[in-house]
Amino acid sequence: MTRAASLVAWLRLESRAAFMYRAKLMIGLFGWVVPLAFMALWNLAADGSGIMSANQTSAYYLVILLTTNLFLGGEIIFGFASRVYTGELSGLMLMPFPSLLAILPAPLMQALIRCAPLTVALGLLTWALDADFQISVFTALIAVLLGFFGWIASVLFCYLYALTALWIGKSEGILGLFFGFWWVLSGLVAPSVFMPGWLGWVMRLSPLWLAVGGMGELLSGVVTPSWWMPVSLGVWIAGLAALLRWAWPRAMRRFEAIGI
Amino acid sequence: MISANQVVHLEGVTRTFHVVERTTGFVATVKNFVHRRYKSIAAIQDINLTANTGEILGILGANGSGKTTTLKCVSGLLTPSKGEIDVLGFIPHERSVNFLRQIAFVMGQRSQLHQDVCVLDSFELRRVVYGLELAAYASSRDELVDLLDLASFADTPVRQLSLGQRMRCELAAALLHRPRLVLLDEPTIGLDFEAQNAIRAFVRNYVNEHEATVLLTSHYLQDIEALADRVAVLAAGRLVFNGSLQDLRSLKSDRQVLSLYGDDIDLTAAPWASLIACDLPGEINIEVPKREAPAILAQLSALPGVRGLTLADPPLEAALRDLYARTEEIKHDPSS
Repeated sequence: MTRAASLVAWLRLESRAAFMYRAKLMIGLFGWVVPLAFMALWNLAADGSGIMSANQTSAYYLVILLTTNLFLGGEIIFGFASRVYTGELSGLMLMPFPSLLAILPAPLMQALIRCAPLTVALGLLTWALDADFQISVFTALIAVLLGFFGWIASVLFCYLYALTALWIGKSEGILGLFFGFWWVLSGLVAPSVFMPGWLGWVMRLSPLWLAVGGMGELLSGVVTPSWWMPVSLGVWIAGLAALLRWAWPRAMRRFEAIGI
Repeated sequence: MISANQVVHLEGVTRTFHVVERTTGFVATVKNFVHRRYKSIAAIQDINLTANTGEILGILGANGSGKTTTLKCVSGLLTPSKGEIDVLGFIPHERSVNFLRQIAFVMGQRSQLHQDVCVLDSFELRRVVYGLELAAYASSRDELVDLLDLASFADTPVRQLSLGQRMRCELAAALLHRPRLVLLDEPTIGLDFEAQNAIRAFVRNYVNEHEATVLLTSHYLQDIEALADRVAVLAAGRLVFNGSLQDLRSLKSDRQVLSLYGDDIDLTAAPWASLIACDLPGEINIEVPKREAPAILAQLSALPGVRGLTLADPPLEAALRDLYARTEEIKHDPSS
Protein backbone atom coordinates (compact mmCIF):
# COMPACT_ATOMS: atom_id res chain seq x y z
CA MET A 1 0.00 0.00 0.00
CA THR A 2 2.76 2.44 1.00
CA ARG A 3 4.69 1.36 -2.10
CA ALA A 4 1.77 2.21 -4.41
CA ALA A 5 1.12 5.47 -2.57
CA SER A 6 4.83 6.30 -2.87
CA LEU A 7 4.77 5.67 -6.60
CA VAL A 8 1.73 7.93 -7.01
CA ALA A 9 3.37 10.64 -4.89
CA TRP A 10 6.52 10.34 -6.96
CA LEU A 11 4.54 10.67 -10.19
CA ARG A 12 2.83 13.79 -8.81
CA LEU A 13 6.23 15.23 -7.95
CA GLU A 14 7.56 14.46 -11.43
CA SER A 15 4.55 16.12 -13.05
CA ARG A 16 5.56 19.35 -11.28
CA ALA A 17 9.17 18.90 -12.44
CA ALA A 18 7.98 18.19 -16.01
CA PHE A 19 5.87 21.33 -16.23
CA MET A 20 8.61 23.40 -14.63
CA TYR A 21 10.97 22.61 -17.52
CA ARG A 22 8.85 23.34 -20.60
CA ALA A 23 11.67 23.12 -23.13
CA LYS A 24 12.49 19.53 -22.14
CA LEU A 25 8.84 18.58 -22.44
CA MET A 26 8.52 20.18 -25.87
CA ILE A 27 11.74 18.63 -27.17
CA GLY A 28 10.35 15.21 -26.20
CA LEU A 29 7.64 15.75 -28.83
CA PHE A 30 10.28 15.69 -31.55
CA GLY A 31 10.68 11.96 -30.90
CA TRP A 32 7.64 11.62 -33.19
CA VAL A 33 9.76 12.57 -36.17
CA VAL A 34 11.37 9.12 -36.42
CA PRO A 35 8.18 7.01 -36.82
CA LEU A 36 6.72 9.65 -39.13
CA ALA A 37 9.83 9.55 -41.34
CA PHE A 38 9.66 5.75 -41.61
CA MET A 39 5.95 6.04 -42.31
CA ALA A 40 6.65 8.38 -45.23
CA LEU A 41 9.24 5.94 -46.57
CA TRP A 42 7.05 2.82 -46.35
CA ASN A 43 3.99 4.62 -47.67
CA LEU A 44 5.91 5.06 -50.91
CA ALA A 45 6.99 1.42 -51.10
CA ALA A 46 3.96 -0.29 -49.60
CA ASP A 47 1.45 -0.28 -52.45
CA GLY A 48 3.85 -1.98 -54.84
CA SER A 49 4.83 -4.63 -52.29
CA GLY A 50 1.54 -6.50 -52.22
CA ILE A 51 2.05 -7.06 -48.49
CA MET A 52 0.60 -3.88 -46.99
CA SER A 53 -1.21 -0.92 -48.51
CA ALA A 54 -0.10 2.68 -47.87
CA ASN A 55 -3.20 3.19 -45.70
CA GLN A 56 -2.21 0.16 -43.63
CA THR A 57 1.38 1.39 -43.13
CA SER A 58 -0.08 4.74 -42.04
CA ALA A 59 -2.22 2.93 -39.47
CA TYR A 60 0.79 0.85 -38.41
CA TYR A 61 3.03 3.87 -37.82
CA LEU A 62 0.31 5.86 -36.05
CA VAL A 63 0.09 3.02 -33.51
CA ILE A 64 3.88 2.98 -33.34
CA LEU A 65 3.76 6.68 -32.44
CA LEU A 66 1.70 5.78 -29.39
CA THR A 67 3.70 2.71 -28.33
CA THR A 68 7.10 4.37 -28.79
CA ASN A 69 5.90 7.33 -26.76
CA LEU A 70 5.17 4.98 -23.87
CA PHE A 71 8.35 2.95 -24.36
CA LEU A 72 10.79 4.14 -21.67
CA GLY A 73 13.84 2.06 -22.63
CA GLY A 74 16.32 4.88 -23.20
CA GLU A 75 15.32 6.74 -20.06
CA ILE A 76 15.51 3.60 -17.92
CA ILE A 77 18.85 2.43 -19.31
CA PHE A 78 20.63 5.79 -19.35
CA GLY A 79 18.84 7.01 -16.21
CA PHE A 80 20.08 4.00 -14.27
CA ALA A 81 23.63 4.32 -15.63
CA SER A 82 23.78 8.00 -14.67
CA ARG A 83 22.53 7.22 -11.16
CA VAL A 84 25.28 4.62 -10.83
CA TYR A 85 28.03 6.98 -12.00
CA THR A 86 26.91 9.95 -9.92
CA GLY A 87 26.31 7.79 -6.85
CA GLU A 88 22.70 8.96 -6.67
CA LEU A 89 21.75 5.29 -6.46
CA SER A 90 23.20 5.19 -2.92
CA GLY A 91 20.61 7.72 -1.76
CA LEU A 92 17.82 5.76 -3.41
CA MET A 93 18.99 2.51 -1.83
CA LEU A 94 18.60 4.04 1.61
CA MET A 95 14.95 4.94 1.11
CA PRO A 96 12.29 2.43 2.17
CA PHE A 97 11.21 2.10 -1.46
CA PRO A 98 12.55 -0.16 -4.23
CA SER A 99 15.37 1.76 -5.87
CA LEU A 100 14.62 0.33 -9.33
CA LEU A 101 11.08 1.70 -9.20
CA ALA A 102 12.44 5.14 -8.34
CA ILE A 103 13.87 5.43 -11.85
CA LEU A 104 10.47 5.08 -13.46
CA PRO A 105 8.33 8.08 -12.37
CA ALA A 106 10.23 10.84 -14.24
CA PRO A 107 10.12 9.32 -17.77
CA LEU A 108 6.68 7.81 -17.21
CA MET A 109 5.20 11.16 -16.25
CA GLN A 110 6.84 12.84 -19.26
CA ALA A 111 5.36 10.15 -21.51
CA LEU A 112 1.90 10.47 -19.96
CA ILE A 113 1.93 14.25 -20.41
CA ARG A 114 2.98 13.86 -24.06
CA CYS A 115 -0.05 11.58 -24.55
CA ALA A 116 -2.40 14.60 -24.50
CA PRO A 117 -1.04 16.35 -27.64
CA LEU A 118 -0.35 12.93 -29.15
CA THR A 119 -4.03 11.94 -28.96
CA VAL A 120 -4.98 15.09 -30.87
CA ALA A 121 -2.19 14.49 -33.41
CA LEU A 122 -3.25 10.86 -33.91
CA GLY A 123 -6.84 11.90 -34.61
CA LEU A 124 -5.76 14.50 -37.17
CA LEU A 125 -3.25 12.19 -38.87
CA THR A 126 -5.77 9.30 -39.06
CA TRP A 127 -8.13 11.62 -40.91
CA ALA A 128 -5.46 13.25 -43.09
CA LEU A 129 -3.73 10.01 -44.12
CA ASP A 130 -6.91 7.94 -44.34
CA ALA A 131 -5.25 5.35 -42.12
CA ASP A 132 -6.78 1.90 -42.50
CA PHE A 133 -7.43 0.46 -39.02
CA GLN A 134 -9.09 -2.95 -38.88
CA ILE A 135 -10.63 -3.25 -35.45
CA SER A 136 -13.01 -5.88 -34.14
CA VAL A 137 -13.93 -6.46 -30.51
CA PHE A 138 -11.49 -9.36 -30.30
CA THR A 139 -8.72 -7.34 -31.96
CA ALA A 140 -9.32 -4.48 -29.53
CA LEU A 141 -9.18 -6.88 -26.57
CA ILE A 142 -5.91 -8.41 -27.74
CA ALA A 143 -4.52 -4.92 -28.48
CA VAL A 144 -5.30 -3.69 -24.96
CA LEU A 145 -3.69 -6.77 -23.42
CA LEU A 146 -0.72 -6.37 -25.72
CA GLY A 147 -0.32 -2.72 -24.78
CA PHE A 148 -0.46 -3.40 -21.06
CA PHE A 149 1.66 -6.57 -20.93
CA GLY A 150 3.99 -5.23 -23.60
CA TRP A 151 4.74 -2.14 -21.54
CA ILE A 152 5.51 -4.25 -18.46
CA ALA A 153 7.70 -6.66 -20.44
CA SER A 154 9.62 -3.81 -22.06
CA VAL A 155 10.25 -2.14 -18.67
CA LEU A 156 11.54 -5.43 -17.21
CA PHE A 157 13.72 -6.02 -20.28
CA CYS A 158 15.18 -2.52 -20.05
CA TYR A 159 15.80 -2.86 -16.30
CA LEU A 160 17.80 -6.01 -17.00
CA TYR A 161 19.72 -4.33 -19.79
CA ALA A 162 20.37 -1.31 -17.56
CA LEU A 163 22.09 -3.50 -14.95
CA THR A 164 25.01 -4.03 -17.36
CA ALA A 165 26.15 -0.55 -16.26
CA LEU A 166 27.34 -2.22 -13.03
CA TRP A 167 29.59 -4.76 -14.78
CA ILE A 168 31.07 -2.64 -17.51
CA GLY A 169 32.90 0.45 -16.33
CA LYS A 170 32.43 2.45 -19.50
CA SER A 171 29.07 1.13 -20.55
CA GLU A 172 28.11 3.76 -23.15
CA GLY A 173 28.96 1.31 -25.98
CA ILE A 174 26.78 -1.53 -24.79
CA LEU A 175 24.01 0.86 -23.85
CA GLY A 176 24.23 2.41 -27.33
CA LEU A 177 24.04 -1.08 -28.83
CA PHE A 178 20.59 -1.36 -27.33
CA PHE A 179 19.26 1.18 -29.79
CA GLY A 180 20.47 -0.95 -32.71
CA PHE A 181 18.42 -3.89 -31.44
CA TRP A 182 15.52 -1.67 -30.51
CA TRP A 183 15.18 0.03 -33.89
CA VAL A 184 15.14 -3.27 -35.77
CA LEU A 185 13.43 -5.67 -33.36
CA SER A 186 10.71 -3.30 -32.18
CA GLY A 187 9.40 -2.79 -35.71
CA LEU A 188 10.30 0.89 -35.79
CA VAL A 189 12.44 0.54 -38.94
CA ALA A 190 9.89 -1.65 -40.71
CA PRO A 191 6.95 -3.93 -39.92
CA SER A 192 8.00 -7.56 -39.39
CA VAL A 193 6.19 -8.58 -42.59
CA PHE A 194 8.68 -6.52 -44.63
CA MET A 195 11.65 -8.25 -43.06
CA PRO A 196 13.35 -11.42 -44.40
CA GLY A 197 11.58 -14.52 -43.09
CA TRP A 198 13.99 -15.46 -40.31
CA LEU A 199 14.31 -11.87 -39.06
CA GLY A 200 10.55 -11.49 -39.09
CA TRP A 201 10.27 -14.54 -36.84
CA VAL A 202 12.97 -13.27 -34.49
CA MET A 203 11.14 -9.96 -34.28
CA ARG A 204 7.79 -11.55 -33.55
CA LEU A 205 9.29 -13.59 -30.73
CA SER A 206 11.03 -10.64 -29.09
CA PRO A 207 9.35 -8.67 -26.29
CA LEU A 208 10.37 -5.44 -28.04
CA TRP A 209 8.16 -6.22 -31.05
CA LEU A 210 5.33 -7.47 -28.85
CA ALA A 211 5.52 -4.21 -26.89
CA VAL A 212 5.88 -1.79 -29.81
CA GLY A 213 5.29 -3.08 -33.34
CA GLY A 214 2.95 -5.94 -32.49
CA MET A 215 0.01 -3.71 -31.72
CA GLY A 216 0.61 -1.77 -34.95
CA GLU A 217 0.52 -4.90 -37.13
CA LEU A 218 -2.52 -6.15 -35.24
CA LEU A 219 -4.57 -2.95 -35.64
CA SER A 220 -3.57 -2.47 -39.28
CA GLY A 221 -4.81 -5.97 -40.08
CA VAL A 222 -1.45 -7.46 -41.07
CA VAL A 223 -1.42 -9.97 -38.24
CA THR A 224 -4.47 -12.02 -37.34
CA PRO A 225 -5.45 -11.44 -33.70
CA SER A 226 -4.61 -14.44 -31.60
CA TRP A 227 -4.18 -15.36 -27.96
CA TRP A 228 -0.58 -16.35 -28.62
CA MET A 229 0.46 -12.69 -28.50
CA PRO A 230 -0.59 -11.85 -24.91
CA VAL A 231 0.28 -15.40 -23.80
CA SER A 232 3.84 -15.15 -25.14
CA LEU A 233 4.12 -11.76 -23.45
CA GLY A 234 2.99 -13.37 -20.21
CA VAL A 235 5.76 -15.96 -20.60
CA TRP A 236 8.25 -13.17 -21.30
CA ILE A 237 7.09 -11.23 -18.23
CA ALA A 238 7.43 -14.31 -15.98
CA GLY A 239 10.90 -15.07 -17.35
CA LEU A 240 12.15 -11.49 -17.21
CA ALA A 241 10.77 -10.96 -13.70
CA ALA A 242 12.48 -14.15 -12.48
CA LEU A 243 15.73 -13.11 -14.15
CA LEU A 244 15.55 -9.63 -12.64
CA ARG A 245 14.85 -11.09 -9.21
CA TRP A 246 17.99 -13.20 -9.60
CA ALA A 247 20.13 -10.42 -11.08
CA TRP A 248 19.15 -7.49 -8.83
CA PRO A 249 20.87 -8.67 -5.60
CA ARG A 250 23.97 -9.54 -7.62
CA ALA A 251 23.86 -6.14 -9.26
CA MET A 252 23.66 -4.51 -5.84
CA ARG A 253 26.71 -6.44 -4.67
CA ARG A 254 28.41 -5.25 -7.83
CA PHE A 255 27.40 -1.66 -7.01
CA GLU A 256 29.13 -2.15 -3.67
CA ALA A 257 32.21 -3.53 -5.39
CA ILE A 258 32.72 -0.45 -7.51
CA GLY A 259 32.61 1.48 -4.27
CA ILE A 260 30.43 4.49 -5.05
CA MET B 1 28.06 -8.91 23.68
CA ILE B 2 25.78 -6.01 22.75
CA SER B 3 24.57 -3.84 25.63
CA ALA B 4 21.00 -2.54 25.83
CA ASN B 5 21.76 1.07 24.92
CA GLN B 6 24.14 0.24 22.09
CA VAL B 7 22.80 1.48 18.77
CA VAL B 8 25.82 0.63 16.63
CA HIS B 9 28.07 -2.36 17.16
CA LEU B 10 30.90 -3.27 14.79
CA GLU B 11 33.01 -6.31 15.55
CA GLY B 12 36.09 -7.15 13.51
CA VAL B 13 34.68 -5.46 10.42
CA THR B 14 36.77 -5.58 7.27
CA ARG B 15 35.75 -4.39 3.84
CA THR B 16 37.90 -5.31 0.86
CA PHE B 17 37.55 -4.10 -2.72
CA HIS B 18 38.95 -6.03 -5.67
CA VAL B 19 40.09 -3.59 -8.32
CA VAL B 20 41.84 -3.89 -11.65
CA GLU B 21 45.50 -2.90 -11.48
CA ARG B 22 45.90 0.02 -13.86
CA THR B 23 49.25 0.55 -15.50
CA THR B 24 50.95 3.42 -17.26
CA GLY B 25 52.44 3.34 -20.76
CA PHE B 26 50.98 1.99 -24.01
CA VAL B 27 52.58 -1.49 -24.00
CA ALA B 28 51.64 -2.12 -20.39
CA THR B 29 48.10 -0.94 -21.09
CA VAL B 30 47.78 -3.37 -24.03
CA LYS B 31 49.17 -6.20 -21.88
CA ASN B 32 46.65 -5.28 -19.22
CA PHE B 33 43.90 -5.39 -21.87
CA VAL B 34 44.78 -9.01 -22.72
CA HIS B 35 45.58 -10.19 -19.24
CA ARG B 36 43.76 -8.38 -16.45
CA ARG B 37 45.43 -8.23 -13.06
CA TYR B 38 43.45 -7.59 -9.93
CA LYS B 39 44.48 -6.46 -6.51
CA SER B 40 42.64 -6.38 -3.20
CA ILE B 41 42.43 -3.16 -1.25
CA ALA B 42 41.20 -3.29 2.33
CA ALA B 43 39.32 -0.02 2.83
CA ILE B 44 38.77 -0.85 6.49
CA GLN B 45 40.31 -3.64 8.54
CA ASP B 46 39.26 -5.28 11.76
CA ILE B 47 37.23 -2.34 13.05
CA ASN B 48 35.67 -2.68 16.50
CA LEU B 49 33.43 0.24 17.30
CA THR B 50 30.27 1.00 19.23
CA ALA B 51 27.96 3.98 19.62
CA ASN B 52 25.34 4.38 22.30
CA THR B 53 21.94 6.02 22.43
CA GLY B 54 22.22 9.81 22.43
CA GLU B 55 25.93 9.76 21.69
CA ILE B 56 27.76 11.71 18.99
CA LEU B 57 30.73 9.74 17.73
CA GLY B 58 33.20 11.73 15.66
CA ILE B 59 35.17 9.74 13.09
CA LEU B 60 38.41 11.33 11.99
CA GLY B 61 41.04 10.29 9.52
CA ALA B 62 43.04 11.48 6.55
CA ASN B 63 41.65 11.14 3.01
CA GLY B 64 41.21 7.48 2.12
CA SER B 65 41.46 6.30 5.73
CA GLY B 66 38.09 4.51 5.59
CA LYS B 67 35.72 6.96 7.28
CA THR B 68 33.05 6.92 4.57
CA THR B 69 33.42 3.16 4.06
CA THR B 70 32.70 2.71 7.77
CA LEU B 71 29.56 4.82 7.50
CA LYS B 72 28.48 2.93 4.37
CA CYS B 73 28.86 -0.38 6.21
CA VAL B 74 26.81 0.97 9.12
CA SER B 75 24.09 2.26 6.77
CA GLY B 76 23.92 -1.02 4.87
CA LEU B 77 25.18 0.39 1.56
CA LEU B 78 28.16 -1.95 1.84
CA THR B 79 28.28 -5.53 3.03
CA PRO B 80 31.34 -6.20 5.18
CA SER B 81 33.79 -8.75 3.75
CA LYS B 82 34.45 -9.96 7.29
CA GLY B 83 33.10 -9.28 10.76
CA GLU B 84 29.68 -8.45 12.15
CA ILE B 85 27.59 -5.33 12.31
CA ASP B 86 24.50 -4.80 14.41
CA VAL B 87 22.63 -1.52 14.06
CA LEU B 88 19.43 -0.97 16.05
CA GLY B 89 19.06 -4.76 16.21
CA PHE B 90 19.23 -5.14 12.41
CA ILE B 91 21.84 -6.45 9.99
CA PRO B 92 22.31 -3.27 7.94
CA HIS B 93 23.13 -4.73 4.51
CA GLU B 94 19.81 -6.57 4.44
CA ARG B 95 18.32 -3.06 4.19
CA SER B 96 14.97 -4.06 5.62
CA VAL B 97 12.25 -1.41 5.43
CA ASN B 98 12.01 -1.20 9.24
CA PHE B 99 15.74 -0.55 9.45
CA LEU B 100 15.72 2.09 6.70
CA ARG B 101 12.86 3.92 8.43
CA GLN B 102 15.05 4.42 11.51
CA ILE B 103 18.23 5.75 9.94
CA ALA B 104 19.35 8.75 7.89
CA PHE B 105 22.55 9.24 5.95
CA VAL B 106 23.52 12.75 4.90
CA MET B 107 26.39 12.92 2.44
CA GLY B 108 27.90 16.37 2.20
CA GLN B 109 29.09 15.90 -1.34
CA ARG B 110 26.00 14.18 -2.68
CA SER B 111 22.46 15.48 -2.85
CA GLN B 112 19.49 13.30 -2.00
CA LEU B 113 16.87 15.90 -2.86
CA HIS B 114 15.03 16.15 -6.18
CA GLN B 115 16.91 18.91 -7.97
CA ASP B 116 14.08 20.15 -10.17
CA VAL B 117 11.33 20.78 -7.65
CA CYS B 118 10.84 22.97 -4.60
CA VAL B 119 12.27 21.86 -1.28
CA LEU B 120 8.85 21.41 0.30
CA ASP B 121 7.75 19.17 -2.58
CA SER B 122 10.73 16.90 -1.89
CA PHE B 123 9.74 16.85 1.80
CA GLU B 124 6.20 15.85 0.86
CA LEU B 125 7.49 12.91 -1.18
CA ARG B 126 9.51 11.71 1.80
CA ARG B 127 6.39 11.93 3.97
CA VAL B 128 4.66 9.39 1.75
CA VAL B 129 7.70 7.16 1.20
CA TYR B 130 8.43 7.00 4.95
CA GLY B 131 4.71 6.52 5.72
CA LEU B 132 4.50 9.49 8.12
CA GLU B 133 1.17 10.58 9.62
CA LEU B 134 0.14 14.02 8.34
CA ALA B 135 0.11 15.64 11.79
CA ALA B 136 3.47 14.19 12.81
CA TYR B 137 4.95 15.20 9.46
CA ALA B 138 3.62 18.76 9.68
CA SER B 139 5.00 19.24 13.17
CA SER B 140 8.36 17.74 12.23
CA ARG B 141 8.57 19.81 9.01
CA ASP B 142 7.62 23.07 10.73
CA GLU B 143 10.12 22.47 13.50
CA LEU B 144 12.94 21.74 11.03
CA VAL B 145 12.05 24.70 8.79
CA ASP B 146 12.14 26.90 11.87
CA LEU B 147 15.32 25.50 13.44
CA LEU B 148 17.28 25.46 10.19
CA ASP B 149 15.81 28.76 9.03
CA LEU B 150 14.56 27.38 5.71
CA ALA B 151 11.40 29.48 5.36
CA SER B 152 12.84 32.04 2.94
CA PHE B 153 13.84 29.44 0.32
CA ALA B 154 11.59 26.46 1.05
CA ASP B 155 9.64 27.14 -2.14
CA THR B 156 12.76 27.41 -4.33
CA PRO B 157 13.88 24.56 -6.62
CA VAL B 158 16.84 22.74 -5.06
CA ARG B 159 19.15 23.38 -8.04
CA GLN B 160 18.85 27.14 -7.43
CA LEU B 161 20.01 26.98 -3.80
CA SER B 162 23.45 27.90 -2.52
CA LEU B 163 25.58 25.11 -1.05
CA GLY B 164 24.83 26.21 2.52
CA GLN B 165 21.09 26.41 1.87
CA ARG B 166 21.12 23.03 0.15
CA MET B 167 22.97 21.37 3.03
CA ARG B 168 20.44 22.70 5.53
CA CYS B 169 17.65 21.32 3.33
CA GLU B 170 19.43 17.95 3.02
CA LEU B 171 19.66 17.77 6.78
CA ALA B 172 16.00 18.67 7.24
CA ALA B 173 14.88 16.13 4.62
CA ALA B 174 16.96 13.41 6.25
CA LEU B 175 15.50 14.10 9.69
CA LEU B 176 11.82 14.48 8.77
CA HIS B 177 11.12 10.90 9.82
CA ARG B 178 12.93 11.38 13.17
CA PRO B 179 15.62 8.75 12.64
CA ARG B 180 17.19 7.12 15.68
CA LEU B 181 20.55 6.93 13.96
CA VAL B 182 21.96 9.78 11.88
CA LEU B 183 25.08 9.31 9.77
CA LEU B 184 26.69 12.57 8.72
CA ASP B 185 29.49 12.36 6.18
CA GLU B 186 31.27 15.72 6.08
CA PRO B 187 28.08 17.73 6.54
CA THR B 188 29.87 21.10 6.69
CA ILE B 189 32.19 20.63 3.72
CA GLY B 190 32.55 23.81 1.68
CA LEU B 191 30.31 25.86 3.95
CA ASP B 192 31.12 29.30 5.38
CA PHE B 193 31.64 29.55 9.12
CA GLU B 194 28.14 30.84 9.83
CA ALA B 195 26.54 27.93 7.99
CA GLN B 196 28.91 25.54 9.78
CA ASN B 197 27.92 26.96 13.15
CA ALA B 198 24.23 26.74 12.30
CA ILE B 199 24.54 23.07 11.37
CA ARG B 200 26.60 22.26 14.47
CA ALA B 201 24.05 23.96 16.74
CA PHE B 202 21.23 22.16 15.02
CA VAL B 203 22.82 18.69 15.28
CA ARG B 204 23.53 19.17 18.99
CA ASN B 205 19.98 20.33 19.55
CA TYR B 206 18.53 17.42 17.58
CA VAL B 207 20.49 14.87 19.62
CA ASN B 208 19.45 16.46 22.90
CA GLU B 209 15.80 16.63 21.91
CA HIS B 210 15.41 13.22 20.33
CA GLU B 211 18.11 11.12 22.00
CA ALA B 212 19.38 10.20 18.54
CA THR B 213 22.78 8.68 17.92
CA VAL B 214 25.06 10.45 15.46
CA LEU B 215 28.11 9.17 13.62
CA LEU B 216 29.91 12.15 12.17
CA THR B 217 32.90 12.32 9.85
CA SER B 218 34.56 15.63 9.12
CA HIS B 219 37.84 17.16 8.10
CA TYR B 220 36.98 20.20 10.21
CA LEU B 221 38.20 19.68 13.74
CA GLN B 222 35.83 22.40 14.91
CA ASP B 223 32.94 20.08 14.01
CA ILE B 224 34.39 17.33 16.14
CA GLU B 225 35.36 19.60 19.02
CA ALA B 226 31.94 21.23 19.07
CA LEU B 227 29.90 18.05 18.78
CA ALA B 228 31.63 14.76 19.48
CA ASP B 229 31.25 13.01 22.81
CA ARG B 230 33.78 10.47 21.66
CA VAL B 231 36.29 10.25 18.85
CA ALA B 232 37.45 7.38 16.66
CA VAL B 233 40.52 7.94 14.51
CA LEU B 234 41.20 5.80 11.44
CA ALA B 235 44.53 5.47 9.67
CA ALA B 236 44.92 3.33 6.54
CA GLY B 237 41.64 1.58 7.33
CA ARG B 238 42.53 0.70 10.92
CA LEU B 239 41.15 2.10 14.12
CA VAL B 240 44.13 3.75 15.81
CA PHE B 241 42.29 5.66 18.50
CA ASN B 242 38.92 5.34 20.24
CA GLY B 243 38.25 7.59 23.23
CA SER B 244 37.17 11.00 24.46
CA LEU B 245 38.46 14.31 23.12
CA GLN B 246 40.28 14.73 26.42
CA ASP B 247 42.01 11.39 25.91
CA LEU B 248 42.99 12.48 22.40
CA ARG B 249 44.47 15.71 23.69
CA SER B 250 46.33 13.88 26.45
CA LEU B 251 48.28 11.93 23.82
CA LYS B 252 50.29 15.10 23.61
CA SER B 253 50.11 16.07 27.29
CA ASP B 254 53.88 15.80 27.71
CA ARG B 255 54.49 18.36 24.95
CA GLN B 256 53.98 22.09 24.57
CA VAL B 257 54.09 24.40 21.61
CA LEU B 258 56.40 27.36 21.72
CA SER B 259 55.66 30.10 19.20
CA LEU B 260 58.32 32.64 18.29
CA TYR B 261 57.37 35.89 16.56
CA GLY B 262 59.87 38.09 14.75
CA ASP B 263 61.85 38.60 11.55
CA ASP B 264 64.94 36.75 10.35
CA ILE B 265 65.08 34.36 13.30
CA ASP B 266 67.73 31.83 12.42
CA LEU B 267 67.29 28.47 14.09
CA THR B 268 69.02 26.35 11.50
CA ALA B 269 72.11 25.85 13.58
CA ALA B 270 70.25 25.54 16.86
CA PRO B 271 69.42 22.17 18.46
CA TRP B 272 65.68 23.01 18.37
CA ALA B 273 65.57 23.11 14.56
CA SER B 274 64.49 19.48 14.44
CA LEU B 275 61.53 20.33 16.67
CA ILE B 276 59.98 22.87 14.32
CA ALA B 277 56.37 21.84 13.76
CA CYS B 278 55.30 24.75 11.62
CA ASP B 279 57.15 27.60 9.93
CA LEU B 280 55.06 30.59 8.84
CA PRO B 281 56.16 34.07 7.74
CA GLY B 282 57.10 35.89 10.93
CA GLU B 283 56.20 32.91 13.13
CA ILE B 284 57.95 29.67 14.08
CA ASN B 285 56.22 26.98 16.12
CA ILE B 286 58.34 24.50 18.03
CA GLU B 287 57.05 21.43 19.79
CA VAL B 288 59.05 20.89 22.98
CA PRO B 289 58.92 18.46 25.92
CA LYS B 290 56.74 20.08 28.61
CA ARG B 291 59.32 19.83 31.42
CA GLU B 292 62.03 21.45 29.30
CA ALA B 293 59.79 24.23 28.00
CA PRO B 294 60.73 26.95 30.56
CA ALA B 295 64.45 26.47 29.95
CA ILE B 296 64.09 26.50 26.15
CA LEU B 297 61.83 29.54 26.42
CA ALA B 298 64.49 31.43 28.33
CA GLN B 299 67.18 30.54 25.80
CA LEU B 300 65.06 31.38 22.75
CA SER B 301 63.97 34.75 24.10
CA ALA B 302 67.61 35.82 23.98
CA LEU B 303 67.95 35.07 20.24
CA PRO B 304 68.36 38.06 17.90
CA GLY B 305 65.21 39.02 15.96
CA VAL B 306 62.75 37.51 18.44
CA ARG B 307 60.00 40.03 19.20
CA GLY B 308 57.64 37.80 21.13
CA LEU B 309 57.12 34.30 22.52
CA THR B 310 54.09 32.27 23.61
CA LEU B 311 53.82 28.87 25.22
CA ALA B 312 50.64 26.79 24.87
CA ASP B 313 49.33 23.24 25.03
CA PRO B 314 49.41 21.60 21.61
CA PRO B 315 46.25 21.86 19.52
CA LEU B 316 44.21 18.78 18.72
CA GLU B 317 45.77 18.77 15.26
CA ALA B 318 49.13 17.87 16.79
CA ALA B 319 47.77 14.66 18.32
CA LEU B 320 45.99 13.84 15.10
CA ARG B 321 49.07 14.50 13.03
CA ASP B 322 50.87 11.80 14.98
CA LEU B 323 47.99 9.37 14.54
CA TYR B 324 47.62 10.10 10.83
CA ALA B 325 51.36 9.59 10.48
CA ARG B 326 50.71 5.96 11.35
CA THR B 327 49.12 5.55 7.91
CA GLU B 328 52.46 5.00 6.20
CA GLU B 329 53.68 2.80 9.05
CA ILE B 330 50.56 0.58 8.72
CA LYS B 331 50.85 0.46 4.93
CA HIS B 332 54.40 -0.82 5.20
CA ASP B 333 53.76 -3.16 8.08
CA PRO B 334 50.05 -4.04 8.42
CA SER B 335 50.71 -5.98 11.61
CA SER B 336 51.96 -2.86 13.40
